[in-house]
Order: sequence, then structure tokens, then C-alpha cells
Amino acid sequence: MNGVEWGGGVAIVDDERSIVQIYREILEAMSIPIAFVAFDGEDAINKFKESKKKPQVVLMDYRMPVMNGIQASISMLRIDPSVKIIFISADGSVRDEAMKAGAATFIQKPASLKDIVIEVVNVAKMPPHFTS
Amino acid sequence: MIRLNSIKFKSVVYTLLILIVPLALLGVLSTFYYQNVIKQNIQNDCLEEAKTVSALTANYLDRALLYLYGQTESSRLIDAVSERRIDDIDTLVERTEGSNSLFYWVFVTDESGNVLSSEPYSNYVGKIIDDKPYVSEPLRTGKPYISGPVQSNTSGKPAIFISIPIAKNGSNVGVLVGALDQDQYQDIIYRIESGVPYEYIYVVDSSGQIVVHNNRDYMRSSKNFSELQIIGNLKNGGEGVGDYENTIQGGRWLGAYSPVRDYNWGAVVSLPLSEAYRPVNNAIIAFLGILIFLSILAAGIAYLVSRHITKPISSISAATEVVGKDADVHDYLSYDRDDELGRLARSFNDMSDRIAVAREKLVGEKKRSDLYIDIMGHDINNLNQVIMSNVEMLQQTEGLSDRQKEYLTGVILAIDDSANLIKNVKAIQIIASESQETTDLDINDIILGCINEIHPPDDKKVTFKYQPQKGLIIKAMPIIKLTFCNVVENSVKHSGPAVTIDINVNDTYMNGRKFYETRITDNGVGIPESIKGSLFTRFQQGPAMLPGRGLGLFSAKMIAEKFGGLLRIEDRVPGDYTKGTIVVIALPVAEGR
Repeated sequence: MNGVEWGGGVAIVDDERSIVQIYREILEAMSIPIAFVAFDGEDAINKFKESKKKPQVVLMDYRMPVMNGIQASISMLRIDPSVKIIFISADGSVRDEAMKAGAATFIQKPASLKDIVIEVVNVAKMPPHFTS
Repeated sequence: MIRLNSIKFKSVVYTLLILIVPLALLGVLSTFYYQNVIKQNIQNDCLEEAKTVSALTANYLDRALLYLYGQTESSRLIDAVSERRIDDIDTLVERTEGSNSLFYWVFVTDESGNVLSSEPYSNYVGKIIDDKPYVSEPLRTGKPYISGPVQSNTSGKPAIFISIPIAKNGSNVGVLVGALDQDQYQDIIYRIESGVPYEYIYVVDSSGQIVVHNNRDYMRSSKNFSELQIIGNLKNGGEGVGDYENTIQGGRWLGAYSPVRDYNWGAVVSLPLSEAYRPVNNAIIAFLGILIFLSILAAGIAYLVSRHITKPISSISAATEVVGKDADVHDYLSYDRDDELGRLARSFNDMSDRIAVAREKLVGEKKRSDLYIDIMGHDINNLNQVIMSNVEMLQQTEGLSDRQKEYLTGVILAIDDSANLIKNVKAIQIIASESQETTDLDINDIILGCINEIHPPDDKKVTFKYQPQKGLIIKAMPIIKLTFCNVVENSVKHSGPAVTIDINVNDTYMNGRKFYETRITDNGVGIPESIKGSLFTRFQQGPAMLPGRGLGLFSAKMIAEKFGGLLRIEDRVPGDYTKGTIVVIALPVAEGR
């Protein structure tokens, strides 16, 4: 689908439940499988570890309770360096920090669903070693 | 440690200068002046003393002469000598010698120089002394004669012989001779001694031979002082005072000399120069002592001035440097004084307290402001995301009327404006913050970044005309990108269905400095003249401001100016704003580029 072989699918990590719900709906509408949903960084790492098939792409928020998105991204990339992380945050000032932590790309909220989906597909197509 | 440019140091120096310089000048000038005055006084004193000795000597000799004259006028003596009545002569000579204290020896000779009578040296009688000038001269000239100092073998003492011819009927029948007692004469002279140490008073006769002198050895040996310059002056009848080389006693001496009129003698008062001018040296030493004392006193006054006036000022100055910092200004101030400095300290204290309160309030306000911006930046944008996503989902609903789709598009545009508003407010916050770490940035990358990030609506055609050129390096923070992106976004937003945005960058110079001038030209709706003036005065904006456009340009200009640049707006077609706008952004080239 979308020219991408969705094996592990997309993980959604955001503490805003309504946003998570929207992402889920649009991705499912695009037939992109959801690997898991987490509402904080620590929850995301645990679910990432537990996943038998690691998600190909993670939609990662920055500001979350317990553990922020940067720390969670670093841990995930340590576990599986091939995972592509799309940082999507309302705080544009963390763009550089996110990219340094290994994010494939950065989207600033509010962003249109169309842009988000395009980025998800584009990132999924990137070779495993690619980071922008 | 005292700083050389501190008020404390300067006050000490100035106080010392004010006190010591006039004293030193006064002292030096008065020393020079009084040195001469004292010298003159010393010389005058010496000369007066010499004149006094001269007068006394003249008086002494006058008295002696008059006394002997009186005796030789006596007919009893004249007759006794002319008739050789030895007993009568003896009686008269004895009376003459005994009745006065001037002569210690009196004798009478006949016209042949044969001693007829002598008192008290009677063994002198019968001697013929016509070879003695004090006998032969009066007999020859008929005038009185005064000898120089003579060492008498008869008396064994030095003597001045004064002789008067005894005349009868115009013929000299004999001579009355009196020998003056030089020791007694010396005693008389030294009654007027000034008491000055090392001072010598002496009298010389016409040949320069010593008649009386402090040093009696000179008297006994009848020392001749004629080799001295001042004695030469005396012989010429001069009177005065001056330095001379004392070849007899050694060294430079000060000498005052005065002639004894009518007798061709002279009186001299002399003393070594070092002693003569000792009062001058003493005065200089006394002055230096006073100057040192006054210097110490001035230093003390300077210290008190420093302690009482400048130290509190320095303390207040030090306190100004810690206002607003963690240090306590109260440690620097003394409030217990009643004068202006005390009031200044108390006023300063009140002021620093007010500043501290205001600063605390400001910090609180800043925190609150940061919190608001943080809420806007994160929480509101999260809500914007939720609204936008939901609206976008709603847009996918089938059967929506065109009007309903317009409503939903309006919501999304409003969310975009809301997000831009937040972005610009955050930019202003960053620019206003104290931390300003700049880095080298390429305007070319910034422009390309803005072009790539523009997402125009599907129904709008945007054409960019830009010829990329790398290496347009400026020194700024990454936030400078917002200046360019805001202008580009404005051009896209405030234009018709199709807009062409022409971007070019050129070098320009302002005040001798190189700038990169970026001209962003669009053919949009333009900005009316009535709005241009107030566009950049954020806090003076009126209702005429273009909705949503003002803050973007306001923050764009603010950011450009923060990094030493400028932003101005021109009409694409001068005089007709409706043909589009040119926004000019000029930023200084990074140094060394």
C-alpha cells in the first residue's frame, strides 16, 4: 500500500488522546497498520520492546508525562536503529534537538493530516540507515 | 587596593596639593627672601658693631689726648720742666699717673729726650730716648703723637704711647708721655661684644698692626694684618662689609670694617662665613621642619577628608555596582550620618529597595509571560492540531455543500493564523531575551527553506523567481529565518489566485559597511499608504491594520533590526500600491566575509 510494504506498521506516541484517535483513524483509512499506541515515553519504550514486529515508523510527540519524546526516541533507536521516528510537536524550538537525537523528520503542530500522511509514507520509504 | 582614578585617591592627592603646594611655594619664596634679609641683617649688625668699636676707640684716644693736653697746659708743669725742678715734676707726673685709669705709665723728658721723671717705673729716669718716635716726633713737630703698639721692655707690657709736647714761649721744653693700657683698652672694647660665637673684634693701627684683638697672642706679638683685603680697604679710608679670604686664620670670612677717624686706625668685626650665616641655615632647617610637620598634618587632613567624604561616596559607588545582583547594598552604606551623604545613602537605599521590588516583580512577570507563551506554543497548538485534524476529517464527509466546505476551510485558515500568531509571539520573546548566541547563516539557505516550507492552498498558484547563490553569509540567530518566511507567507496569503514572488539579493553599503539586500517583490494586493506608516508600530496599531498581517511584518522587522539590519516596504509600482509590494531586507555581511 502507498508503495510501502507495511510490516511493523506505524506506532503513535502522544499524550493527547484526541490527537491519537485522529492519527489512528486517518492511518487506518489509508490502510496503514497501527503497531501500537502509547501515551507517554516510558509506555512507548515498553510497548516497543514488547513488539514482536518492530514498527517501521513512530509518530512521536515531544512533551509528554513520565518521559519526553527525545529520551524515548534515543532509547528506541538503541533498541532498533532501523526504526524511523517522525517528530511531531507543537514546540518548534525542539526541532534541532529532535534531529540530533535521530529523528527522520520534524513536523510542527498544527499540521494538516495530508502533510502528516505524506511524511509517514516518505519516511517509510527511506533506506534503513537514512536520517535527514 | 586604591585605584588611581578613584575619587578617594584623587581627593587625597588634591587635598595634599591644596595644602602643601601653597605652603611649599610660600616657604621657598619666603626662604629666598628672608635668606637675603637675614644676611643683610647680619652684615648690618656686624657693620654697626664695627662702627661702635671705631667710635669707642676714637673716644678712648680723644679722652687720653685731652687729659694729657690738660696737663701740658699746666704752668706748673711747664715751669718745672723748663727749670728742671725734678721734685715738682715727679709730683706732677705721680699725680698724672695716679689720677686717671687710662695710663698705666707716665713719664716726662726734656727737649733732649732725657727722661726727667717716670711713674711708676722710676728706673727709667735718666735714660735718653730721643730715638723713640713718640719723643722725637712731638719735639720735632710740636704736635701730639700716638704710637702704634709697642712692646715695652721697661714695663714688660704692650703699650700705646701718647705724647704731647710741653711748650714755653713757643719752644718745646719737653714731652709728656702716657702709655695706654692695651689690656684695659681690650676690656673696654669687649664690653660691646655681641656674644656671637667665633666673632672676632679687633683694632689695627695705620700700618695694619693689631692694637687690640680677641686673641691676646696677636696683641703681644703685634701681629700685622695688612695682608687682608679688608685692612687694605681700611687704609684707603673705606667702610663696609663683605666676604674675604682670611689668609691668617684660614677660610672665607665675613668682615665689617670702619675707620677710626683722625687717628688712621680701623676697627674690624669678623667671623667665619659658616658661623656668620648659621642663622640662615638654621632658618632653612626650621622651614623644612615646619614643612614636614605641615605635610604630615596635611596628610592627616587628607585622610580625614577621604574617610569622612570620599569613602561614603566610594561606598555608594560600589553599591551601585551590586544593585540588582545577589550582594546586599546595605553592607556598603552608612545611614547614620545627618548630612547630605547620609541622606544620599538613605535615598540610595530606598531606591535600591524599590529596584529590588520592581526587579522581583519583573522576574515574576517574565515567568508569567514565558508561561503564557509556553501555553500558547504547546497547549494551544495541540488544540489547534485537534481542531485542524477534526475539520480535515469533516471535510472528507460526503454530501457537504460548497458553503459548508467554505466554512471548514475558514476554520483551517484561522488555525493557520493562530499558529502563525503563536510563532511570531515566540519569536519576539526569543529576540527580547538576554541570550543572543549568533552563528554564521547563509541567506540563500534561508530563502530556499522558506520557499520549501510554503504550502499554498490548492486553489492558489504561487510562482517563485529566485536564482540561488550560495555564500551570502550573515551573523545571526536561526530565528532570522522567520523574517524572510513571514514576508514570503504574507506575499502568498495577501494575493489573488496567482502570485509571482520575485526574490533577488544584492550587495549594498550603508555607513561604510557591506550589507546583503534582499528584495522580495510580489504582485499581490499591496499595502495602502494609510497603513504603511503604522504597520511597524505594534503598540500604536489602529483598526486600519490589515488583519493577520501586522504581527508577521512587525516581528520580521524587529528580528532584522536585532541583528543590525533593516526592513522597509515599497510599492512595486511607485505611487500605486495596488500593483504589489516590495519588501526590502538588508542584513550586515558577517565580518571577515
